[in-house]
Amino acid sequence: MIDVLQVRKVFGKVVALDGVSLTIDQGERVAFVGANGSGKTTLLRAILGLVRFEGKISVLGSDVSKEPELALRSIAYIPQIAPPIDAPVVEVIRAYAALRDRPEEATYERAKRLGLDAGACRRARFRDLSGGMKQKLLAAMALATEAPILVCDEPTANLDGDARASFLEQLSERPESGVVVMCSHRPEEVRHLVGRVIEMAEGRVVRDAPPAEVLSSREHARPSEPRLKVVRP
Amino acid sequence: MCAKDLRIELRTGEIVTTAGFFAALVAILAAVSFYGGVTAEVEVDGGHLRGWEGPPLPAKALLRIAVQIAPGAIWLPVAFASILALARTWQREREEGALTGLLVSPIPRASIFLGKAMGVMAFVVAVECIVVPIVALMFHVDLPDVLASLTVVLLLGTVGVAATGTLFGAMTVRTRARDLVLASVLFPLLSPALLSGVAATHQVLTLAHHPEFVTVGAQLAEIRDYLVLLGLFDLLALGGGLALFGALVDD
Repeated sequence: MIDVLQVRKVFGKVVALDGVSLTIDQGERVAFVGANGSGKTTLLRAILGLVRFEGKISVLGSDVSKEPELALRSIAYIPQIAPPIDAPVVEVIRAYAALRDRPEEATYERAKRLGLDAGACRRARFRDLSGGMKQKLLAAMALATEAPILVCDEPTANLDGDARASFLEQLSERPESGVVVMCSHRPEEVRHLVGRVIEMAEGRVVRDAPPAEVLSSREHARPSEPRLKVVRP
Repeated sequence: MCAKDLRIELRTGEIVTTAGFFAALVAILAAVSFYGGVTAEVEVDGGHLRGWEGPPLPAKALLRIAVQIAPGAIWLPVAFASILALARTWQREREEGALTGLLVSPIPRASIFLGKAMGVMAFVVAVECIVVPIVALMFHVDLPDVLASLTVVLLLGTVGVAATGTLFGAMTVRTRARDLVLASVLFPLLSPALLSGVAATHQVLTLAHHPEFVTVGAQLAEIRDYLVLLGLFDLLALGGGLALFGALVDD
């Protein structure tokens, strides 16, 4: 479904991706993990056709660099940081639905399930919504497309418990052939959402294994961190 | 893309208001500085007017001096206001991150370019709608006599300005001194369109005083070469934009 072949991306002197090759098949749920600067977000942006790179990435047979409009027809994207769009919520939903050729109602319905009454805040400017509300709306818009590939960057980072549960539920309702590709720093998110973890470091794939294997070794490797302890009087 | 930009503009009015006000100010300043509202007229010597390449004019024809200055008073504000509009419209994309949303949508990059260029063109046309009546009023131009021909010239010029500006706006939006870079890069590139536009406007305004060129068809036939030049510039700008925009908006 997604074929990444010898992808290399350099920003100035920094090698962000260094000959990455991998294949994501139908029905797989994959998480890219790794330290900041390891190249996971750049790889995600390359899959979305947002960066130029050496090598080749094809989505359902369409080359992302040469025919992005065909490749992106199969992809819905949930960004980690919501863009500060000045337009009212109703216009954002309308524009997105028109671009994806989907009914607007599907977004309102998905948002409601995530705990956001988009109809009630339809006149509010998108940028004025809280971080959680924006994240819910972006997730709702992406889920409403019913695209076979869902690409997300820290999708539940700003969601409250109920919204996170609803997001997981809506993901589980997706067809089994659907693909989920995500970046995450949150072990519990990775454990719940994916069946394959690709660990990256210095622009390379250093490990490709089930979540339990990668996460447990990462947790063991991590030095003990100071924790804040709440003591009740 | 075009509808989005127009809707935002209808809600905020910031581009047309600021660029229109600025353009009107430049036009008025040009009128006051170079013309001063004086209705002085120059006599054509021997049937030829300096800079006039059309057919010989009647020896005793009187042409207002305003005709010499008015084309510049139209095109200079339009060019400056275009830079303002372009800078603001791309700054908005950058600030709001809306472009990323469009780039991850299944639409061709060329469509995004065309939509953006159409939006910019609408802003520039709105500015022209403000500037032209002001110039006509300040320079005593009989607008009804030249309106149709002037509209053709301005529209052809605006297509090239909008297409070139949209392409280079996309290129400079991520640079630090983007407004300065955009103006520095764009004005030399736009010079063929601006010079043709000024020359064609000058001829249109001059022809309006000539009894043989009162009809729109006669006026347009007389400025055919300039129109062809403007059309070629538009084709080049649009072709370049459609071909290069995708590469310019990727990181």
